[in-house]
Formats: sequence, structure tokens, C-alpha cells
Amino acid sequence: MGTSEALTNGRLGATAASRGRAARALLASFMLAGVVGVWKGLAPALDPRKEFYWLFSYQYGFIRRGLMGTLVHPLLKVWSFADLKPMIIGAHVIACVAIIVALQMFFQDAVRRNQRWEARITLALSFLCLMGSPLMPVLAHDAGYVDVYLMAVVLTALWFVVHERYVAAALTVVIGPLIHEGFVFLWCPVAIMLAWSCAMLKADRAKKLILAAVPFLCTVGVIWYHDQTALRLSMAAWPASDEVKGAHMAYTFGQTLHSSFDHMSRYEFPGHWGNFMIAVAYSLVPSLLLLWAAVFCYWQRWTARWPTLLVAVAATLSPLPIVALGWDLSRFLSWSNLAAAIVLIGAGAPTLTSLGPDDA
Amino acid sequence: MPRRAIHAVVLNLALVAGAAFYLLSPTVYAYFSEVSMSYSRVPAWFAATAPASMTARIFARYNAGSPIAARFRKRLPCYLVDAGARQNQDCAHDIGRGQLVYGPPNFKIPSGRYVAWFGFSRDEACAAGEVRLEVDTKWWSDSGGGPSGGRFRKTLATYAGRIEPGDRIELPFTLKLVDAALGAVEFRAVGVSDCVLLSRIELNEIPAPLR
Repeated sequence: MGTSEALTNGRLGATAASRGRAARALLASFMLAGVVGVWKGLAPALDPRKEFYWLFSYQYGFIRRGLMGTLVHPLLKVWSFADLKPMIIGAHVIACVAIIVALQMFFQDAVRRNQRWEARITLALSFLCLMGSPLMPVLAHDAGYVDVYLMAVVLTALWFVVHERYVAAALTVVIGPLIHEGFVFLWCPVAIMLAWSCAMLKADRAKKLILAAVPFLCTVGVIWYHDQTALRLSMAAWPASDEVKGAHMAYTFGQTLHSSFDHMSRYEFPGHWGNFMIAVAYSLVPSLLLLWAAVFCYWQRWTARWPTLLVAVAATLSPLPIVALGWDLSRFLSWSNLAAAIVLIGAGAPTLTSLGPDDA
Repeated sequence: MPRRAIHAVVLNLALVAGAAFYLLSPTVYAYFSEVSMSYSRVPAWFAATAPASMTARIFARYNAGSPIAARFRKRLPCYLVDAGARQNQDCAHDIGRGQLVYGPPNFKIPSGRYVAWFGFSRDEACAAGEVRLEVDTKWWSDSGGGPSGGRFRKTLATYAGRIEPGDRIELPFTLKLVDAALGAVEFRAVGVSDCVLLSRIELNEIPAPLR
């Protein structure tokens, strides 16, 4: 190698290193937007309707949504539940911040892998848009719910997938349905991208398909092995009002897919289509922007452009069928913001998307 | 300018605009029939920004058909909280000196012009007395509350004076867009002297004048 070539390589290396540092600093500053979102939305106290997540455990037998209560149960020997409530809120805040950090790491990885300067800027600004979106405030608002832990499981598994560690990913996603059966909806974007990558890429097809299916199989198992007697004992031991308990027996544990859909189609959707469209339009704009960013950054590299775009759209919208089963509109619509981020991350990940060379 | 550069500029501006809009907007928590908006722990000036008023405008009529608000309006006194005052079986409230009744909790109605009227009667314990009546809007976290709770309280209408049994006090007020979006309407009655019996509260919307 001649001297001038070595100098050029050295300069290029230094430029790449300084660009990497600049990108890291920019993404780190954008995390503040997510922190502001958490602060903006954080509920000050644990809603009594959400206490059962932390009190119901496997002590009487296996029940749905009993994992978090089982993990907390030993602490009740040391502290009263009233003392634990601030800790639950504190843990929720920590989990929200962990999600912000995890997403920043994904976007940093995506920026680093991209050679085009305009795509790097767009990816960084996409992270800013995600941090400003309704995702973080709604997540913080729902302190006491377990959605934040479901998202942590999804992002952890996604990390393993991007780094081709499918067994670790499978072991991670087993936890999701034990926390809440709704995990499968949050998992859908990853599952769809795994399935698509099997169609387009030859490597690890069996592992990817099994991984995609694991949460669905686990959910069936959770519902199958749920012990109604254990639930009744847990409910009896819960010092909540009869009104709250009755509502949970009817609407949390007493619903099937069919009865949930029936309730929604009879009582929630009729007369409220206008409200529904307003909430959808408001909440989904960030998802559309992230999808647009994915097209801008990776369209020229996708080997099957239009099919990949269709898959990306489907994956972004895939958590939304849960709206047909539950009336927490903002809570479920914000899941699409995370789904769009997963799509943007996956659209540029060689393990999930068939990509051509990056000709910068 | 190359097409891709134009595309980049447009997209990046949209991303930044979107980020700024949603960051400054309140936390929107919607169900199918009602929505609440809040700023939990950020400075008050967030509520004075353009995204806050735009969001309030987007969701301006969302709560118009709220079943909870409809239930409250049918029998408002039954949903009031007694802080010292005493509620009887007919949902009337004996309010003595220094005693307070307030509520209902998280009463969300659309913006507009309203008249609240307070009806008083008598029972064995209470008849005439002095009272202060208020219609407030209170911005608070969805889980917050209490007689003096709430981050920001604004009084929309007030009355202070002597009440005789059979009196009916009307308080017209205007609920502005951002107040309706971020706050909940609260009725308060504080006893100043003797004891009064608050037996009815009703709320009627004043139709907008025809142009």
C-alpha cells in the first residue's frame, strides 16, 4: 500500500469514527425526547384496577397473567403491598427508560450499518420521531399495566434475532404470554418479518419459523392450563372492592375471543366510529412516518421491493387487530408505533430482509 | 436538486415536525366513547403551545357522547364527594360551616357555554345559611384528585351569599377548548355559615347563537 493510499484510508477511518461519534451523540440527545414523553405521561400512583397484575400469583395454581405477581410475591413477605406500590411505579419508570435505551441501540446499529449519509440522517430523525410519538407517554400513563415488560421482551428477542441467536430469542419470548396473552399481538411484527425472511433468505429457516410460532403456542398453553379455581382463590384473597373484582372476573378473565369481539361490536364500535377514526388518525401518523423512512432508506436495496413493502405495511399494522378485542384505544394504537420501529429496524437487518449491496 | 435530496428534505422535515408536534402535545388516552388528555410532570407552558391547542381541537367533540358524563349529569349530587359535608339517602348534602362538597370525579364535557344551577331545600338539620359555590376546571393526572388536588385549577364561575330553602342559583360559564381538553369540570360548595342543604345540581348547555 502506498503512502497516499494509507493516508487516505487513515482519513476515511478517522472520518467514519467521527461520524459514528456524532451519530451516537445525536441519538443520545434524542433519547431525551423519550424521557420527556415518559415524564409527560407518567401516572402518579398505581390504579387499583391494575393491582391484580402484582398480587395474583401461582400460589394457588397456574393462572393467566400470574407471572409478575409470582415474581413480586416473595417481596410481600418483607413489605406490605402499600409499600410496594411506589416500587412498582419506580420499576415501571426504569423499564420505560430501558426501552428508550434499547431502541437507541437498535437505531445506532442501523445508522452504523448504513453507508448513505441521507439515510443515516433519516434513521436518526426517525428515532426522534419515535421518541416524540404517543408510544412513550401512553406507556408511562399505563404504570401498573405490564405492557412495558411485554415490549421489553419483544425488543430483547429482536436483538437476539438481529444477531442470529434464535435459541436465546425463543427462550426469551416464552416469557411473554406468561405475563399477558396480548403479547402475541406485539410479537406479530417480528413474526411476520421472520416468516418473510424465510421466504427470501435460505439461512436458518427452520429456526426462524419455530421462533415465530413459539409465542402463539405458548399462549395456547397458557389459556389451556389456566386454573379457574386458582383464579377464584386469588380473587377472594384480593382486598379490592366487589365492583372492581366483578369487573375483572367479567372483562379480564371471563372473556373469550368470541365474547370480547361480540362486546366490542355491540357496545364499543357502534356510534363511535367517528371517535375511532379520530384516534386512529392521531395515533398512527408516527407509524406512517417511520414506514416512509424505511422505504426511503432501504427501497433501493430490497431485492423484492413491492412485496417487501407490503410485508412492512402488514407488520406495522399487525398489532392492531387487538382493538377488535379490547377498548383501550390509545394503549393498543400506540403498539403500532413500536411495530413501525421494529419494521424500520428489520427492513435494514440482513437477518430479516433480503438486501442488495449498499452502493453509497 | 436531485430527486432523492428533495425526498430526504421533505421526509426529514416531516419527521422533525411530527416529533415536535407529539412531544408538545398532551398525553392522549382514548377509549371509544371518551378521551382524557394530560400533562403529568412537565411545565405548564406545554399547554400553551400550538400542538396542545391543535390536539384539543382534534378531540374537541370526542366526549360529546360520553356515557359516564351522561350518567353524572342525570344525578350530579349523587356523585359528589363530601369533605366534611354529609350526604343523605336522596343524595342531598348537608353543608355546614367550613364543610365542603365537590365533584364529580373526572367529569369531562366538550367545550362550550353552559349554565350550572344549584338547588337548595331544607331538612331537620339544615335550612338557610351562607355558602360559596364554584364551577372550576381542574387539570390533573387521571389518577390524581382530592379537594385541593390537581395541578392547575381555574374558577369559571362563582357565587357567594346567603341561601334560603327553595333558592336556585344559576352560574353560567364558558368552558374553553384547552380547558375542556386538559381539565375536568368540578362543582364545589363550601359552607360559610350555618347549614344549607344542597339538593340538586343540573348542567345545561347554552346553544351557540345563530349567525
